[in-house]
Amino acid sequence: MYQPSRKLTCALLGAALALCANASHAKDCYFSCVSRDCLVIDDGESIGAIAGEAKQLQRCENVEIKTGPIELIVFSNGKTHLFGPLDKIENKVVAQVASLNDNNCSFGESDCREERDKLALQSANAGKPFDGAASAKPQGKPCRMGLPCGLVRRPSQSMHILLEDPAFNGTLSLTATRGASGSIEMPVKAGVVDIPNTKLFEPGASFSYTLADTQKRIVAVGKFSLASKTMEQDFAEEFADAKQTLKSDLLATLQALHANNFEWDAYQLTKPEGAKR
Amino acid sequence: MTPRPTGKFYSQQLCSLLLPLASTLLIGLLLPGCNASSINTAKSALFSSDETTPPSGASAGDLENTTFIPNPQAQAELLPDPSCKVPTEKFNVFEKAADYGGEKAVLRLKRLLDTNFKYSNLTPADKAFLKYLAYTTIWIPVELENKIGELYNSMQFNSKDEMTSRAVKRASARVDKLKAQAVDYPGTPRLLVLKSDSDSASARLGGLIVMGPSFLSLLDENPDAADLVYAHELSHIYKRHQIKEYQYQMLSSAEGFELAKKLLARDVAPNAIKNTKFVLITVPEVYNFVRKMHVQFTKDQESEADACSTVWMSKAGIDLTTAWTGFKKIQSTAGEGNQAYFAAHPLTEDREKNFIEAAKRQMQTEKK
Repeated sequence: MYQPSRKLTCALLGAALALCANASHAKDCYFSCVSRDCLVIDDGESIGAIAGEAKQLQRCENVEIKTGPIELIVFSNGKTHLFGPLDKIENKVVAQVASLNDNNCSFGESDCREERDKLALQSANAGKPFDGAASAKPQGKPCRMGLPCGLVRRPSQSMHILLEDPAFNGTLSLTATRGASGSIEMPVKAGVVDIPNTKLFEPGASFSYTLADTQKRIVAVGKFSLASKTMEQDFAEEFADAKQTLKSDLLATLQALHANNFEWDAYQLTKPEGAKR
Repeated sequence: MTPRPTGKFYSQQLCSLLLPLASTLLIGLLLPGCNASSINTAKSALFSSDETTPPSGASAGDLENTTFIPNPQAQAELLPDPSCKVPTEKFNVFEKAADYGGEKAVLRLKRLLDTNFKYSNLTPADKAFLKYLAYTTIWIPVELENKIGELYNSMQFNSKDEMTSRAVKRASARVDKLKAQAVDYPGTPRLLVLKSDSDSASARLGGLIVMGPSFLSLLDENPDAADLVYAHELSHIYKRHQIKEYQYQMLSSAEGFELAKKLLARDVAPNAIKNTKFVLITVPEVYNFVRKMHVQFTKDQESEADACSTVWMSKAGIDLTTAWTGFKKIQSTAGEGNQAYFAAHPLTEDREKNFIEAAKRQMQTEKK
């Protein structure tokens, strides 16, 4: 009978522990420079930001401030935790951040978005729409690729989408499936697409979309819904509340976005534009 | 009147402790050959049978002295209840069998529940009899259904995917307001909004109304329609349509029939040992059966849910015409090509007609 060696057992145990440890890192964590440009070391990587700018951190338990002050904000289990303004990260803060046991998946992480894609595919095979709305069956990994998914804020101007792949070129076709009618097709250039605000973007409306490459091959099919007018009011109120405690507008915006489940908007907001991508 | 079964049959603590353990140990070991497709195939094949003679293999003794003529009023009980009466389904199926066909029906039921009676020996009359029992009795108390529902839903949904926001609170408040209009609502239903569910609102086992962000936003934008949707889904739970469908499906296959026999033959007033045995053995079997099923409500059940919706909305002071107009508005912008939906719900025109009639009835009741 095969007996695993002690070394192998330890290795497997170590791998399991590492997986567990990784799972607990799924926190949405951002920093913002309070009064001047700042610099932090995030898990060994140097990240600079200008005053008022907010950036996402990979490992908020492992942050070092080189130039402060900064505000640190952590979204965990549906709650917001604010630290700062800080000139240095004290052990007490590290312990507090580490103690935030988070079961939520962080939408900023590609693994989390990929999980959403899987769930969308599963749920598409079950249940029946109450009002008979025909919905496109998901294909590929739209959330993982950075395309809109879940609940999204109604764009005041155009809907600006940054894909994960900055080299992607093709076409995005958008069709209203409920609460609005019509469709639009827009080119995707260098991983960016702008959909002009037409009457398509009605509050509470749902959409399905198809992303095709330059060879017209379908790369992904997904869906999203726009916020209702009342949800937009909720957002405005949450933002006003957040501004009472946070100095950074961007962090206050992120807090209000998270409070209203606008995960995709929060994720897009902290993605770098253009050459920085 | 026989009261609806309550948790007195089962200690809730016992269920809480034993159910997860029992299910972990036994799921997958029980009913190994039972799957959704085989049961659905058997259901459509067997319940549409026109046979008038006993199937081969049935002995003459199977029917001896137990042939009876069903009470004509019994068929009427299967029609939708337009007035949304408080559900008072009997747990004791033998009492209900007596309503259906007197003493001979009781004798026949005892014979059907014999451990050696085979599913293949059911006659068309037996099938009609069992269908009647499936839809007019409740074999699983609401507390136990909730436990099975909790287990089922915990396997289906991850709590980390649950949405919490002001919009969810608004929707939950609407659900609670409508629920408060019902008399003797079974269990404690609640709204569960998932970050990644399909584009629907649906009533699930154990009193959950599940929906996704798309529907939440749509209903938040159209609050008049929201009341109708929530009241409709609450009605499915109130009338226990889901568990009745499961009961009916159990009786539609050889594997399910054996499980149904265990549920039906259960002691009405069991002692602690019998309770423990039942929870340990039968409940995981029920869960195992349920998790393989995809229940779709009948058009009659949908009509019944619409009828209850009008009663509760009216009691809650919601204008029925505005609610229906709101619902039609959200429908008008939705694709009407979804066959699964139209197979399950009555046609919009029929629903509108039923809705108007129900609204008139409600107004007359209020005048009285």
